[in-house]
Amino acid sequence: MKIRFQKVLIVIFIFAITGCATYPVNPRLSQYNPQSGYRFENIMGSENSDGLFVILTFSGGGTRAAALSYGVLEKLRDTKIQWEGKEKRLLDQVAVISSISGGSFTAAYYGMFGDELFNPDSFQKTFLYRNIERDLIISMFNPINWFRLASPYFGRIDLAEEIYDREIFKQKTFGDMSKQAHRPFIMINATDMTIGSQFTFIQDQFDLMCSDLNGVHVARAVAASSDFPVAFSPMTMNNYAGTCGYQERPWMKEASKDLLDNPPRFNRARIARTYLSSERPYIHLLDGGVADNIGLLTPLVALTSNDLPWSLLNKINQGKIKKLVVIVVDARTDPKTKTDKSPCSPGLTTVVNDIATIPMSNYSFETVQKLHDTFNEWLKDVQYYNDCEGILKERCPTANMPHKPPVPVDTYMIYVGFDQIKDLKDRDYFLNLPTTFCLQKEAVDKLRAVGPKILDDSEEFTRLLRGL
Amino acid sequence: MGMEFVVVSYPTSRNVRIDGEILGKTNDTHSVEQGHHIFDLGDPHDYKPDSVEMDIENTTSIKPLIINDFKPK
Repeated sequence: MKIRFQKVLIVIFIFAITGCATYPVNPRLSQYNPQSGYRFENIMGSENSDGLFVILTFSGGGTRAAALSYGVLEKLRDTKIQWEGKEKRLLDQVAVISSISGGSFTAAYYGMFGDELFNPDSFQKTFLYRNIERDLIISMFNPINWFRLASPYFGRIDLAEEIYDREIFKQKTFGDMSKQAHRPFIMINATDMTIGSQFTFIQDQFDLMCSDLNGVHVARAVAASSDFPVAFSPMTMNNYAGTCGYQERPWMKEASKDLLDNPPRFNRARIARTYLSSERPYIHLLDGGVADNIGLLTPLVALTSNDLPWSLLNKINQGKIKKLVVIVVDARTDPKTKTDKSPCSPGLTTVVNDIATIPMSNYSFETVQKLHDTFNEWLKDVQYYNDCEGILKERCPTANMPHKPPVPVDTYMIYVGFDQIKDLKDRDYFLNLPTTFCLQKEAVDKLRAVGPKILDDSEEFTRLLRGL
Repeated sequence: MGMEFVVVSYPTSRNVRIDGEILGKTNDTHSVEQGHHIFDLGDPHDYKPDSVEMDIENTTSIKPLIINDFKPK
């Protein structure tokens, strides 16, 4: 009788723990207010001006990506420039960092703690040179967590977030990041699993769900951004759409007429509207690399569309941006594989891993090309106007063009990737580094050094510095 | 998809809004994304019509779409 009673108690205890285990719920937004929250327009108030506008994008790739982007930030910190009559660090002109997965650790830490990132006792110890994978595995073997993980409302990604929150990001929230009110604006990207589109941790995205990003821990965004399929469970966010007075933005209505004129714009409106629907009370997120592995898609939309509240195209139209610099930090690898050396069908792990990484890695080339094409078109549009004006003045010196030229902007597209390493042996080394949260010290040191080296060798980076 | 170009003409220089966001100033040439847009001049509402809806395509930097519907009240 006594043993049976003990068994019942144990079962009740297990159910109690399991039932209590739930993901940290993102808070409701009581009232939509475009003047508050973590959004680009509210992250001002520093000496960082729009005139020289630097965007960084950090790709996914575990610690490899985190270390490569860390090295690039070190290089920008050490690069002194003259801008608007003052000597500055190029790093201080970085206005936006858009990041994915491993790159999100570096981006979020810099956004939250600023130059503390470079303190050898901080990020280097808590993440870059640390075997955080071991911490994740140890937590999985903790019997208490077995019960928690048995809950359908608590997954491996929530466990990972707890570790990142405690060990790296010190329980800081986006509210803490907002209070600092200084650039860069950090855009941590995940993927909305059911619609396959990018989900960015900024208030503009959370407005759609009537949720207050200020109450979300930074570690949660980083965990979602690095939520590699199958290795971790998808992350759940609550959607309270329709409860905060948010109204559909005017561009959504207009874009819904653009199915044939401009399908990507039509699709952006379609995706935004899915959050406003009562059909999706919960949103499930995966690694940002599933939608875009280099973090360039959202900045590209800001550069080519007038729709976003922080549209860079509108800032260019207003003459606010004189020089626009985009530095793409891509930790893409090209590992040697045994798959094609065997007639055997690859196993499930290989298939899942390859599907989750290789197609997007290929797509990244297209995204970079789109940025390149956009910059070229802007240049051609201004040249076209100037050529016509030149011909007009030659034939008819007293005549004027009937309207003003488009606003010119100097553009610089700088790509930092392992394919640019000239030494074959070195290139092979970096292209075969694994995607993991546990790299040898030597590898991290080399990754920190190679980003600055690629920048030094970059003609575009040299051209930028010559003009400053 | 290339850029489109728009000039919103008005007797004085004032803000132009596109789909509720500030695009730039009247009488300047602006780059816009292809498709349907609503233009207005924001506050003060001392002009008519209240807004103009346009489907913008096939423009160039030397031949922008000229919107000359707005007049002072």
